[in-house]
Amino acid sequence: MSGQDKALLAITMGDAAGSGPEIITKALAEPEVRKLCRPLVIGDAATMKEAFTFTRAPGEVKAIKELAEARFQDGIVEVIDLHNIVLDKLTRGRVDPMAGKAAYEYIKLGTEMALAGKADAIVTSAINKEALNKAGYHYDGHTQLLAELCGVRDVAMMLVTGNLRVSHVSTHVSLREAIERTRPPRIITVLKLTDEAVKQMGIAEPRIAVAGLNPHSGEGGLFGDEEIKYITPAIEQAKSQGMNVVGPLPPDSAFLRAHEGQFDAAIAMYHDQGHIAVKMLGITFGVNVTLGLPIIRTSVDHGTNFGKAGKGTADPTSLIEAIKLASVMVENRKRLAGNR
Amino acid sequence: MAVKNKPLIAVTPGDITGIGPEILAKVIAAGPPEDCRLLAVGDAGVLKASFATLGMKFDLPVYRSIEEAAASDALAMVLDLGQGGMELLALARPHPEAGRMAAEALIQSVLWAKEGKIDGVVFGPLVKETLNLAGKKYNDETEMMQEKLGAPLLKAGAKSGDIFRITIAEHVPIKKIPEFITRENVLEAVEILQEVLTMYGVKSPRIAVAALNPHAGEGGMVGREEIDHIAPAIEEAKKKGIDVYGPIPADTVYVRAFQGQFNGVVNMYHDQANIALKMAGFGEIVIIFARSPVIVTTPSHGPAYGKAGKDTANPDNLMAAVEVAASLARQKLAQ
Repeated sequence: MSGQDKALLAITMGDAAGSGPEIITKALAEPEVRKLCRPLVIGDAATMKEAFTFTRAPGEVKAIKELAEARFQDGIVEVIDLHNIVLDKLTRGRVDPMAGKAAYEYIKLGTEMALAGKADAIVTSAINKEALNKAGYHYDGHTQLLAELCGVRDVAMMLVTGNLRVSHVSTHVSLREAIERTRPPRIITVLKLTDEAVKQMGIAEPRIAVAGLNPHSGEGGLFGDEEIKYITPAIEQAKSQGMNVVGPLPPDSAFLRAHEGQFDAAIAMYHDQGHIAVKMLGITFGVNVTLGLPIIRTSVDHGTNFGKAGKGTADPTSLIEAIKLASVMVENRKRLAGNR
Repeated sequence: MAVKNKPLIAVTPGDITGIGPEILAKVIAAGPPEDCRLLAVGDAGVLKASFATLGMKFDLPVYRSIEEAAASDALAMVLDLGQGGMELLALARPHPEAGRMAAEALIQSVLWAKEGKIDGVVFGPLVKETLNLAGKKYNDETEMMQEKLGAPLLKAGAKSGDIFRITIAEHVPIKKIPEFITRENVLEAVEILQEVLTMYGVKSPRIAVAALNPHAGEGGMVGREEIDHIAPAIEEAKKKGIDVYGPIPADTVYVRAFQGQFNGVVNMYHDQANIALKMAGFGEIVIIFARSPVIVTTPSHGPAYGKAGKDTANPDNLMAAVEVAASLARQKLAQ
């Protein structure tokens, strides 16, 4: 692949007090990553420089002001320098509104670049919700913030771990609220978004499993009727729109069967249903994908890991997988658009 | 009664129209777990026929009286209830007569256990729908055993690998789950799990309590059950000297348990446990009855009618249930 064809990824630095900067130094030193994409870090150059002293990863930081300056050479980590961290005042491993505000600014710029077509996708590092909120940005996380920046409402969270892809009908709400959200319009939206995303991940005809809400998928109404009233009608409608959808399946077999290769994705009705399945496979290589945005966004599936910040020991696998997945999605988006 | 310190464990085939007789034959053929003796309780003809279907030689001693069986030093034997039922074998659907036979074998076994003639009972897969005894129908085997034993009995603990668990709202619609999450129910579940772990001989058990809401409610932002009910119950259990932790987000509680941080997990609902355990490859879940005067275990699967008579049924779950019962019986004998 020639340089210009490779996906240009805006990689946000995340919370400066966490392990994000160190993880970036390691991930961008991977030849595999460099082969797949043109990485551009949106962050604070001084923080990135110091991160290299912690990890001793090969490579060096080059601060730039705008995209036009970027050369994407191996061994050089180009950072669009927002110069918004005062290193002397930063304590690693501690919630800091300065780092929260800075993290917000990286996401905002990265999103704007992707919306303007300057970047092909945005790959985000971990942020600290408390720091973000203390800085005056009241969001429950990346997803809500990105939806607002992009001006969309119907978004969904997909977790990808190895061959298991799980989209969620609802995420950050109480179980009581999640039950109320299990309704056909939302389920169909999530099915459509999942179908599109899996195609972007390179699977031409996605097979999608839908988990039930109740134990044993309600067992014919004995253990709940949401399957009969809401989930089955939604599946029927998705099928009539040409999607290959199976379900509702008992939740304790839907994700297992997807993991065994019977399905390319599975739909979870609530946060823990999907997260339990994914996390049992191990979280080190998980990727979080936001569906429904006008841009491609992947993210690490772990927190800021304050405990490892400044020690150089944080594991970059999740970021490497997020970068690989974003690159694949960008490539397929181009190909699918060309086929139209 | 234990001969040479080997507890005698009764195993019933459960519903003989399903896979029960086959998996029982396979367990017997594989040999009883170390340090216990197996007593197959049911119709000897049915069991012989199952051996024949599987192409296995039947050479077990057959007894008609429990006293004779208990005195035997055979490692595997049959207690023949003379029930008949050959025509029902591998019928592959529920049948009232098979339900009656399953109930009879189970109740006879738990009564012998209550009288101290045997040391534990494992019952094979059966269905609630056909369960009946002396013309009376029961909602489930727990209700039936409670009546016949005249003692409270709870289908409570379950063991997967080295992890024990209990679920507060198991087979209920998810909409109704929050009603079950009370301080009293959570505390009782913690106490029962502690009893099961102690009964099994786990030294210094560590119990985790899963949360109901994502991120354990995140300080009340996404649900209040953790603050209002679960955490107070945990505090009370701690005061009673139980080593208990939580509420722990449900998406990490089993990850941590499998890392060895906990021996027991209190689940709020069915899929919290079942998704995690199935993803971890634990199909063999053994159900343990708690607060029971006798040791009773059973595999977690049903009679699998579709597989009946085909020699494809997997006996591992029944074997695991026998191992758990034998282990519990040895613990009890050692006390």
